[in-house]
Amino acid sequence: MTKLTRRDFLKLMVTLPVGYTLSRFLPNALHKKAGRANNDKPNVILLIFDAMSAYDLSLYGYHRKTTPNLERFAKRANVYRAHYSTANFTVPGTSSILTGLYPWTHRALHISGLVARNRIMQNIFGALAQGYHRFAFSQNIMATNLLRQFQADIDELLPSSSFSEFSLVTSEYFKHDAITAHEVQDNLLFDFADPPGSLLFGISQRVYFEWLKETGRVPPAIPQPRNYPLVYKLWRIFDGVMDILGRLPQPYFSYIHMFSPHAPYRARKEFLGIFDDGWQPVRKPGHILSEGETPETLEQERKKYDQYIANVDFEFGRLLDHLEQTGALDNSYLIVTSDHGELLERGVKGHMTPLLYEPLIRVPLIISSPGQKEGKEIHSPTACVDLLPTLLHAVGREIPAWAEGNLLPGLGSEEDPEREIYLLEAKSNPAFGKLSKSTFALRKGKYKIIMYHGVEAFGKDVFELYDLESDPEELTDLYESEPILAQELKSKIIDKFNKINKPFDVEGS
Amino acid sequence: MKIKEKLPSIHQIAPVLAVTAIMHYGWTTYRFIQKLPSWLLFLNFREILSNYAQTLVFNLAEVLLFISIIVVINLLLPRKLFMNMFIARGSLLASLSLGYLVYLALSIGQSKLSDFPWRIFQWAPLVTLVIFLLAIFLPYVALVRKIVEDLADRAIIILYVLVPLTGLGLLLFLYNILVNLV
Repeated sequence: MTKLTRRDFLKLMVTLPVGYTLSRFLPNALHKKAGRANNDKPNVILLIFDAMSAYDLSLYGYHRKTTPNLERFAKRANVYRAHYSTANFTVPGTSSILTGLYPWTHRALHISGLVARNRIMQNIFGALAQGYHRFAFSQNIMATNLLRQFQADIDELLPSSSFSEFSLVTSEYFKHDAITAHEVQDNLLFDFADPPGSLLFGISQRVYFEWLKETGRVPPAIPQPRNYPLVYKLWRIFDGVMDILGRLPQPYFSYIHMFSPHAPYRARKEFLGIFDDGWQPVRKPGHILSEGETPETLEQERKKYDQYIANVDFEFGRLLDHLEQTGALDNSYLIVTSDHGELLERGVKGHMTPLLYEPLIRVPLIISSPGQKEGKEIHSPTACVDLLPTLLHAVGREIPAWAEGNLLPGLGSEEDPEREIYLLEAKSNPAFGKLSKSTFALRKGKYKIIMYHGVEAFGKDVFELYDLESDPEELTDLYESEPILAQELKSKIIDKFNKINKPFDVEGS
Repeated sequence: MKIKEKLPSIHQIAPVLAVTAIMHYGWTTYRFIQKLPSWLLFLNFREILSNYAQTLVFNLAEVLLFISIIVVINLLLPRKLFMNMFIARGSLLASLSLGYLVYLALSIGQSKLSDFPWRIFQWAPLVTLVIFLLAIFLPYVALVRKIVEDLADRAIIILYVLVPLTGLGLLLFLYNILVNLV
């Protein structure tokens, strides 16, 4: 064996760091070069605001002026007036955006659910492979779990705590087994919502975090729900996003999932009290499946929610200015939407409910195409599963056969006022079996029918029917008074339900 | 006196380790079973197994840390105050202090998220002192000492299950990380 001389050793010590440094920069440099060569391809920025209901946005006709900046953006974009999520909480709604599949196909039905393992290859990142730098960041830990499932197709995936003020979320250190780590650590051993499953580490971490808070070592900021030990400031998140967008190799597809305006509604102090206007929203009767919140509590919560939306809108305005000033919008699609809405009426606060009323499921969708200068209104119903085929079409990619959505009007198709949109809430069902208890809704034309299936409180399948054009607040149930119409829509929704209500096909794809 | 002479033998450590393991693994398994119905809704068998493997690895770390603390206490105290009745004192210290931690975990879990129950920790120093004194002095009562030592001795059988199970858990845990790493 040849001996390593002192000279050889010194050479090695010099070349190793140089080689390492070059290896760090070279791929980026090559990528950037490739980006310049592909500059005919537009960038895509998909911006999700968690739990942002179209109902509370002045852009969508809400009484309070909550979204002046979204309105400014809408002047140069397509605004979809009747856009729906496919469900009423993060996991199924986000999964539909990312996969272009309805909940009964992707099967991410549960609060911490995951996309069916044989559907993981069917996602927007995979469909944009080759030629696009695919970037993803979600503040919502549940959505990050979904992104982890698609990790093989994502070039850059940031942890949920990025740009945050403080985090003790241990599962983020287990990047290579993150989904297991999330369930075991965040939701069991270091559980903040229930007794921690680890006597030594769990209690110590909780006490340590609370002590840091008490002594001011954790800055006052917005906490995550379930009190995951992670706090953030909204403006810092937006600053971080602006910074990231400026350095991504082009062309890029960036999925950015902001946690705000999800509860807890924590607007900055400048926004507190801006809606002390004495205005009262329409009071609606409580629902048999509601949690019994009083109208007074709900009105207070709505005020906080509206303030928070105004705060989010202000930050969005800064982002919009930045994108305009840097010229990014000239060669980028900017899509603003939400994964689901929020209900602050009928005795319900939030979105952990089986109900499917409009504030829970109708979400904003605003899309500006590269260089678009004029606004356009789209009134026919659309769904979040439409985003995947539309984006692929927009960047000149073939739409895969598995995609279940349609092209969005104004971006490849014409308006279809009679388009049928289906929504499903089935969080208490196994992802692998038939649905025994669920809420299923159909929006068709100006009507919406809701079916409560297997709900013990009713004892049988129960239906509600609304005319959304003459009764947008869904106050008058037409199911009894319009029997012919009710029968027609009932048979349609039952047919569809029977078609989709099959055990998950493990072999199918 | 050399430190080595004050270290308990494997025959002394095993019963205390068994008591510690029963408390840690037992509590985590109890919480795991409470989570199971929810996991059955969206995780497959392999994923649930991976979850269990990870809890076993954390339990192993906890047990090793806890037993190390007991050994350090043994090293710090005079021989006649701990080492002479290591099994009884160690087992009592483990079961009483871990029992207290179970109480704390339940109290934290029942409190509101926004209102951490600091009041339950006000008594913690006193409770810790009492547990410590009980662990040291109770074994002077021969009957107590005999009962504790007999129970701890019988508890060793659980190690025959937990040690191989944790070994398998550790392998699965490492496999999951390595496979995803590659």
